[in-house]
This record gives sequence, C-alpha cells and structure tokens, in this order.
Amino acid sequence: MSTIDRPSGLLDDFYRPFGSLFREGFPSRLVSDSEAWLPAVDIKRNDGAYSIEMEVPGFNPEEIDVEAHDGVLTIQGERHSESDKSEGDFIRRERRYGKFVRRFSLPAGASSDAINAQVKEGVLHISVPSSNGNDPKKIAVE
Amino acid sequence: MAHPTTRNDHETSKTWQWLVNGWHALRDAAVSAVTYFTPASEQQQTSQRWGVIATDVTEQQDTVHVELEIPGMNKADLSVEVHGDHLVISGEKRTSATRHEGSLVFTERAYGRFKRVLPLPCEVSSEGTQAKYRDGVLSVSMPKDRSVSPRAIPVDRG
Repeated sequence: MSTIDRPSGLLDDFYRPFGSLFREGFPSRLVSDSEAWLPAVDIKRNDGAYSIEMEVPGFNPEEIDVEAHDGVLTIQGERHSESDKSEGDFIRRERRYGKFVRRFSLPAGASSDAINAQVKEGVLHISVPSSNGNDPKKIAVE
Repeated sequence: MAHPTTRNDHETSKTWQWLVNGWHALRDAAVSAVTYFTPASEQQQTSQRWGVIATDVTEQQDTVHVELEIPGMNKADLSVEVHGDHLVISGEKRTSATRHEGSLVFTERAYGRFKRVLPLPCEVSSEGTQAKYRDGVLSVSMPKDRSVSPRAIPVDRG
C-alpha cells in the first residue's frame, strides 16, 4: 500500500481546515468588521480522545455554535460590536466582529454524541472522546 | 478621449496607489497587534512565538478606555501600568497544566511572556484607573489627567 507523504499523520487524520491559513487567515482582515476570520486553536490527542482549545475572547457562550455532523466538527461564532461602546471615538480598532467558521474532520473513532464544549476565560474547550472499541484491531488472515 | 497609453498609465498608477494604501493599512494593523511571546518554560517552547493581542482604544469626554483580547490568562499574571500618555500591559500566558498529557497535534496559540505598550490620545492619571479581566478580555478605564497642560515655550532669536 502506498501512502502520500504529509507533514504529519496525525494532522492528516484529524485536522483538515477547509482552506489554508494562507488563503483565509492573512491579517489584511485584522480590522475588518464583516469578513470571516480564524481564531487560533490548539489540538491535542490523548489516548484516542481529542481536546480542542480555541481562543474566543469576549464571546458569550450563546454566540458560539459547535456541531458534529457526518464526521465534521464545525465551530462557528458571530458577534457584533457593542453599541454602548461606540460612544466615544475610536483611537485604535483591532478587535474583530462578525462571523467565524472553522471545520475539522473527526477521526473515525470519535464519539460525536459525547462531545462536550465549554467557554472559560475566553477559551473554548471542546473534548471529543473516543468511542470504545474503535482502536485499530489486527485481524488474523487465515 | 484620453490617449490609450495615458489611460493605462493612469490605471496603473491608481492600482499602485491602492496597493500602497492597502499595504500601509495592513502593516499598521498587523504590526501593532502582533506581539512576541517569550517562552518562559519548557512547555511554552512548543507554542507559537507570535500572537495577536487585538486592542480597541476609545476616547470619551473624561476617560480613555482600552480593551485587549488576551484569552486564557490568570488574573494574577497580568500587569497594568500607566505611564503618562502610555499604557503598558505585560504578563505571562501560561500553558494549561495538562498540556504535556498526550500529544500535541496542532498548535496556533502563543504562550509565554509578553508586553504591549499602547500610546494614548492624552495624559491619564493612574489614580482612578480601573482594570477588569473578564471572558479573556482585559478592560482598562483611565481618567484623563487635566493637571498636565502643555506649556508653551517661547522661541527667542539666538
């Protein structure tokens, strides 16, 4: 069996952004109000389970939507500039408002029913447990 | 009707101007928000060195208000200092205690020590300055310092 060389096997089986950072995440949109952006994530694997941490400072939990469907985990959020803040003049404006979407393909052994998400100090923590019995098994060839 | 070459030159110059303006806007926004994080522990070595601390600064009649996005901090690791017409924010963003468990598949977040110096539109007073950290956003409200008024220096002929 031939395999294609990729930077990391783990990256390949789990992390597949729909569009690379270079195409979507160029900082030209740092100050834009309406266009999508990509909040930074860390992804960790532990014993077949995955944990994702995404930086979502200032977001309320209601403004974030996490969904697992057909092996794809979709994280999206939308927020609007607070109107009470607009009193006064902006001297500097770097924070982003509007909508973001990031998608990750889930590994085969992920149990999408048991995905858990919570926001703490502006960080979204998502845990994707592995469903039991999905570890690769060696099948004897008779 | 303009000569075709002249019109092309005009278009080229317009495109060029557009690029230059875009580049300046991009550089201004990116350069100031992008912050270097110095790893302070072995675990922080595995993270990104450059992070974005997106900041809004607004000016009201009597106050200057700053909001910085620094998610995942401990309140105790944040330092806020007022120096005349500059606000200095520094601290250490720590990796979680469980970072070493399992393997890191992908990391985009930056950890370590950082410092950001923000120019303010006027002198502010450190007394009465209030700072709050909530949902990963640090908000700082500073009263304007009215006691500092610029003194005009007469220029004499030498």
